[in-house]
Amino acid sequence: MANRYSLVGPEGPRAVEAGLTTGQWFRSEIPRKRMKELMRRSDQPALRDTAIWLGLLALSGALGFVFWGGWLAVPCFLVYGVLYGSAGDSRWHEAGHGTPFRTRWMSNVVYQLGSFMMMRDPTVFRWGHTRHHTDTLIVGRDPEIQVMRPARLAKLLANLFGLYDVPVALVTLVRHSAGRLSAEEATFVPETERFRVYRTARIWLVIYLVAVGLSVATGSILPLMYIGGPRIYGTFMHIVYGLTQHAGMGENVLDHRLNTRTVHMCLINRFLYWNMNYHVEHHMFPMVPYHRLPELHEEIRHDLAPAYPSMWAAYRELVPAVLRQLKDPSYYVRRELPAGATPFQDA
Amino acid sequence: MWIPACKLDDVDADDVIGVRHDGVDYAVFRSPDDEYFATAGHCTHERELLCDGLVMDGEIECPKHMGRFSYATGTAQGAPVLVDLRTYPVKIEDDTVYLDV
Repeated sequence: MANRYSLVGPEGPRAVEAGLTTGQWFRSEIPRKRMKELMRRSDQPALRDTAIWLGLLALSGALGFVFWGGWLAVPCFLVYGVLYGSAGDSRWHEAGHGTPFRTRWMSNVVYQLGSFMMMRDPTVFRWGHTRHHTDTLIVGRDPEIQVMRPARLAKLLANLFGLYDVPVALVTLVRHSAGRLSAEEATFVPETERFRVYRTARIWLVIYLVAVGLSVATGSILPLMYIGGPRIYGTFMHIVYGLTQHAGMGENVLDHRLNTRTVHMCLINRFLYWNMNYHVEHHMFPMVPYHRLPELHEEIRHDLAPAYPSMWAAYRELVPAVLRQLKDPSYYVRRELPAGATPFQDA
Repeated sequence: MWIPACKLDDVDADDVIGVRHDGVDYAVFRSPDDEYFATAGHCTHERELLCDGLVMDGEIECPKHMGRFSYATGTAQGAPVLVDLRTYPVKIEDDTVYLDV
């Protein structure tokens, strides 16, 4: 069966023809003065969070080294792995937008670090994520649709441990280091940017080869527990968070309120996920830094379908929806906007 | 051709407003030093109005994908914007900002 989600298949041109790629997305009305406040950049919150993140990584990694060979190493590497293989995703994402810090080089450093941890080339994924924001859940255009209709369940479950993404990333790494892009990547990475992809791949390949070499030389997987390995054993939380964003929602609609979820989460999850649980808000106003999203939520909640009170509530909806789509791919979750919400012309 | 774009006080310091003339969108900027500049109204990456973006450190950042341009020169500052923004001469007479379009 042809993959209708392919960026080089027939669905992309169809979406263009249907006007889905040039449409104006819905945005709630916010006075310019208030919007400027919400968009304002500051180093302090992200510096604090990054210090905690890297500090905990160093601490859990050090304790894992001390306790290596015993059961106490398990919780240490669980913490290290989640901070690397799951929190790395939200850091990659936020820093990619350039919004967490006022000082640009700080965002760039965190972006490079997050990209390495998540095995995502910083250039390819920057352009891919750009497309995701232009064409969220537009079939044939959005390269980040996690859950297709019907879902590839085996792939989804395997990715809780990176078992699909990591092999693909390693093959991609080798291809990039040989100076080649895939046909899909070539649809959104401009020619002038491609040299960056090849350069990064060559550097990363050397780092991974050194880690593997150290493992072989020492006869221990310990070096790979620190580098690369967490993308497998610690990545499950980024999938758990990420699935709440769009899974089971409507495709080809130009209103994030109808194809995106905002889910309330506890402090620890919001730290690990860097507030991306406010996902409708993020898509509607990507300029607002993660630490202002709770305020933005309060500002526009009258326009949004009710936020999900917990991850449990989101999963109670999305699991049955995704399972139903296995039999009926035309099914999707229909969200009702509250009375008085600003309507969207295509809603 | 010079066109009246806005009054001096229509734009806050270190901010931008959108102006439409004859079906064409422009962005008018006021620097922290009360200098005025004008550029095309849409980002060169995708058709997004820049007047909803963030003005900071002499740059306008597009609200959709955060592409940045110098608003004085129109120079694109890197991915995802690779094409410079068109700029327009500005003059001030009395309390009105004029653009040469």
